[in-house]
Amino acid sequence: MRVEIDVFSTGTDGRVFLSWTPVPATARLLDGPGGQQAVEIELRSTGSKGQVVFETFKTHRGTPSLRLSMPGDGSPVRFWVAGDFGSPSEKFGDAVITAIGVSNGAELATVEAMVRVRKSANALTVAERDRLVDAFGKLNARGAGRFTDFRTMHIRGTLDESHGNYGFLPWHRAYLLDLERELQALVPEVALPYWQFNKPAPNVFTREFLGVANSVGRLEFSNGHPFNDWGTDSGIGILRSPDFDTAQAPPDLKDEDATVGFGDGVFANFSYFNENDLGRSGIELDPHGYAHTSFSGWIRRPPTAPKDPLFFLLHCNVDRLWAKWQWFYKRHADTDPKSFPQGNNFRIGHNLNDTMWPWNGLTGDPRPPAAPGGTLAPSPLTTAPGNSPKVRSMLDFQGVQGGPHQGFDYDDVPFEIADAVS
Amino acid sequence: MNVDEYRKQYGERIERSTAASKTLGTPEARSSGDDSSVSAKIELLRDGNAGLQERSRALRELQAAAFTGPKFSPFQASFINVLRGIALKEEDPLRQSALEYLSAEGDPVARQVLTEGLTDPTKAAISEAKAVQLLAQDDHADAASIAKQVFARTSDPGAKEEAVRAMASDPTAVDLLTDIIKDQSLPDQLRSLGASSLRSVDPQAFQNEALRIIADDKESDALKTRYVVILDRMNGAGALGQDLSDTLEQLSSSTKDARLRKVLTKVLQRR
Repeated sequence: MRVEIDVFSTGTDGRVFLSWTPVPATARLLDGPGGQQAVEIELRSTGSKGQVVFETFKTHRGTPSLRLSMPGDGSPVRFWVAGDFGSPSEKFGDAVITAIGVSNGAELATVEAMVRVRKSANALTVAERDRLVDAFGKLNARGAGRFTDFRTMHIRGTLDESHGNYGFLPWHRAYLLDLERELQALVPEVALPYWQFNKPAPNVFTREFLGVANSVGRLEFSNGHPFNDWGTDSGIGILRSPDFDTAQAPPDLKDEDATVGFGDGVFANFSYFNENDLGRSGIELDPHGYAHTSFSGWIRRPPTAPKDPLFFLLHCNVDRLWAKWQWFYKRHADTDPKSFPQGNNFRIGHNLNDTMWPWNGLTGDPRPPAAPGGTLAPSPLTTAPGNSPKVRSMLDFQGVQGGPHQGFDYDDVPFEIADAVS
Repeated sequence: MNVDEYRKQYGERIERSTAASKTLGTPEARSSGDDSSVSAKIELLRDGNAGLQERSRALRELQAAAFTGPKFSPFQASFINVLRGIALKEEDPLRQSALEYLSAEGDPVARQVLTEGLTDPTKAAISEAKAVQLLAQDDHADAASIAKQVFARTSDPGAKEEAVRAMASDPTAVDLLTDIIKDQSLPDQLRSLGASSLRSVDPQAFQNEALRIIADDKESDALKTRYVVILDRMNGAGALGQDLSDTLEQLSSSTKDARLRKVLTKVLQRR
């Protein structure tokens, strides 16, 4: 007897990729006894590194094994599967779903998978790190690749779309997701890591990863490193030198606890968290701005910062902090004014119902004159957030409120079904 | 991991942290950036008599505030003016920082200061290497032609490297770049940079030189490895040309360098 398992979260090559967010799946007997006779099977997580959990409904309380009663006529039985929070994969196939016959212990099916989540860049394995730089190198293609679009989405004349108002966090979330999907199209096992700037990251600022500055602030990489050929409108090379000891964290940045716990919870309100007033040190100014200005070089100026791949790891951490804040205060609902201001009188691109440039393709005043890069890259795993996301599309990235997830998660931000909180 | 337990532990952590911050002073009070404080920071940056540490901090905070985009716009002009003042002051320790910011803005004052320093070293504000690098960031500067002069004149290896990089946008530099690649008396790093710049201005000339180096017994394995990697990337996923393929096969069977052999095996297997 055999069992067929279909997990509705597969890449273009049919491989299964999971995150913490449960996705539907089915199991069915291929050559069962027929008729009304049921067969008991047990689903188990049997991976060597990545672990998964199961349940018959969508929940954050899945378990590593699940018994199902399978109709003998081969009708499918639906269940939910997710990565087990705290046990991500390091490579494809180190997470495995196995179906066992309860009566005889026979193995009836195995499905290899990857629990692919965004991790701390400092904690990546050598293989994870090398896959990432390889993917970035391919995307850049010595300055002739698709990466150029990402650079030109964040230059002078475009920054009104992405900075200085409520759309700062949603816009950058879409930006990172677009980039991550392009990286995954080249190297599917890649997830964008984050530079956790309030902690030392000695493994990040090395010749093998994001480079070490020479005496004039130009990065040096190991022989054969794809970033030796990193190309931008400034030619080959990357300008960045840290103004701090890279064995330590940069000084004077607001740390994670202060960022998430900002205002003693009284201000567990997006408008305070985000920073919409230079008088408040919300996340846009501190730690985001100060993380940028912990270096000299391109990363220190808004129009040049995305020329440096570190930009995307820095912003991934900013997005992680927002995701952590959203999870902690349960601020995913786009109808909740504490999750996002409900008004419609902010600058264009920053209101809940506004579409976001450049993915909306809109050009000309008040939008920038060109919209590089086209629509947001699709994912074979999910339909969200669509190819022209609105600001509101970017809030519930996990589908906590019931919609589709966006195909990414952070290693330390769990999926948790929301209960209504005031 | 149990998500409910994780929530409980994280909540306790945030509570402890919040309690501690109440004792130490709220973090949000630390980095206030309202309009008056932005203006005050600009004035502090302007004040050459203020302490360097305070001025450096003010510069960092102002540049961080620039990341808030349009909200910083009302201050941008006065910020640039202060930076120009610093860039023109010979003794100001923040001169390089100011020039870095201004040159990336394509600022004419920075262009003038850098160009003057490179054509007349007695007027140099910063090192030759840094000056060439910054000038090359400014689209309106004639960095490539100045870079050729610096390359011919300087003995500073860092300045030579930056000069070779700056030639990557200059089609008239093909002969000089080819000479740099051929010159085995020069450091590998400089020759590699020459190759990189040549590849930008004339890819065919680069490929010819790369093939010659890979086949040359007198060249180092490290340099050959780099060229193999670059040629592999240049050829994308397509088949290698017969000349290149033959050369790589031959090298693969003759080299004793483990890294080079590994790279060659990878490239040849993929084709």
